[in-house]
Amino acid sequence: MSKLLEIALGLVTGIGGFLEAGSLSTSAQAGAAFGFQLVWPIVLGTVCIAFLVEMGGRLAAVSRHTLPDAMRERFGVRFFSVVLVAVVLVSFLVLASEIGGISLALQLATGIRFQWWAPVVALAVWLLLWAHNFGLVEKGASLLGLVTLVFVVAAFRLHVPVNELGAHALPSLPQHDGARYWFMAVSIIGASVSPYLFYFYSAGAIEDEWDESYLGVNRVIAGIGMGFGGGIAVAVLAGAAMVFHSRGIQIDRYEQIPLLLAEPLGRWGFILFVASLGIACFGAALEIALQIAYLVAQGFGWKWGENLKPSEAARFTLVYTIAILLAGLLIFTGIDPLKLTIFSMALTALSLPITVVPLLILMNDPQYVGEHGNHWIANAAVLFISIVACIVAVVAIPLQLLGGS
Amino acid sequence: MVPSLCSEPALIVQVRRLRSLATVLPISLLLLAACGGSAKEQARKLHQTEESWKATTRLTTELWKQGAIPAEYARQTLEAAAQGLAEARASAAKLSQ
Repeated sequence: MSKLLEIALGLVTGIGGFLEAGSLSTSAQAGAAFGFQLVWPIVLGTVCIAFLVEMGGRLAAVSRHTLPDAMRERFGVRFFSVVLVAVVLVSFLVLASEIGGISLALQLATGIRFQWWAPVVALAVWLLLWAHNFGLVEKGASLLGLVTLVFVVAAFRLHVPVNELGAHALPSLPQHDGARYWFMAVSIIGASVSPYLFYFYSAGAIEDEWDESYLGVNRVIAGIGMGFGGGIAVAVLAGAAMVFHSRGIQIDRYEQIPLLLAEPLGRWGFILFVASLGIACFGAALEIALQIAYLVAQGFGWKWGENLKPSEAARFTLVYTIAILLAGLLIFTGIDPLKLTIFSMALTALSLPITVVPLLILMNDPQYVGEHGNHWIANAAVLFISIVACIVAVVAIPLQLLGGS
Repeated sequence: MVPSLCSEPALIVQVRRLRSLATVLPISLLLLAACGGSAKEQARKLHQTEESWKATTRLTTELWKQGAIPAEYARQTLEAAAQGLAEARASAAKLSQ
């Protein structure tokens, strides 16, 4: 495949695959509650994930090691187990959130309660992974995910004041509800910097047999793809600010969010919202289920690969089967998908140092990346964002829980 | 000999700066939260929630009348609004007792 086509597909993957339950709901909630004030966590999160995705791809291309494989080899089994538990736990909650998001989209379309859709959705996700190969899963979901560009169209229709929006790209202190403001900020960063994104991307680079000639492609995909993806999240926030914040509406339930597109785009807005939520969450659910299986199988040295038949990688298949089953069951209990999503994202932010620092160490180790080690700017930016997000999460999560939200 | 991340001078400086931030930030956030935990503040938040659900009801009804949203979805949203409103009012009543 030509490099140009690889770049085009990679960009589509980055843009179409960026928005999912977490980034959609956190951006909508933040825009409704604080107007344009929380644009900066999206900017910080996007910068951080662009660096991390680029690092994951570079590690795979240069060392031909998957991320978990390199971690286990470099830090030993004991430390790797800590990372494994943290990433699997966070990813499992995010997987449940995505299944909740798809189920909610089906509820909005049919009126049948989301928990009844959860087993159907879980079965559909599992069937697609069982029956198809990696390329179809990754590219197909991301191509369909381009429907989320409708949020950018809506932002234009709502005449979002771009200058005012841009002014909030730098951090500012809250004007009211401090605890909620910081909680929302870490949730947004958690949604943007979900570990599944760079773990999945790194595994994909190995599946696609990248070598050092892909370093340029990798940089373009990570930078531009994630940048545009972050732009869609900003459009969601801006739309929510224009439709909800101006009317004093705060987002407490998923059912309120489709109004964001129905107000500027009418009936098509509603239809496209349901499609966006369903497709974006479906794509993310496929990727997260696979990423959990990659992580466990690569970490334990089992045979793995979505391009292999399930019988050829039985333990790999078993891991994603169990993850999907349990996540489906969690949503089937009737747990509020919006609350689950927001707290999953905050927990993701909390776990960032555990998931990110080992990658940084690997990316500075010549044994793995040779002369392609990290620039100090990449180290400093990722370390700073991850640690600050974790510190704020340590304080903001208990406060938000005590506040009863 | 495998060089580690800690041998990078820029990173050491970064970590030191983050350490000082680590002490200042949680304290500021706790102070901020302590200011907002009063009954008056809770009552304000509940009033805000009530107003939010009322506004959701108005917007949903308006869009439904324009034919911008299907009746089934309008029913779901109005049901959620009624439930949210009832919960907020019940909490407000509890708070005033």
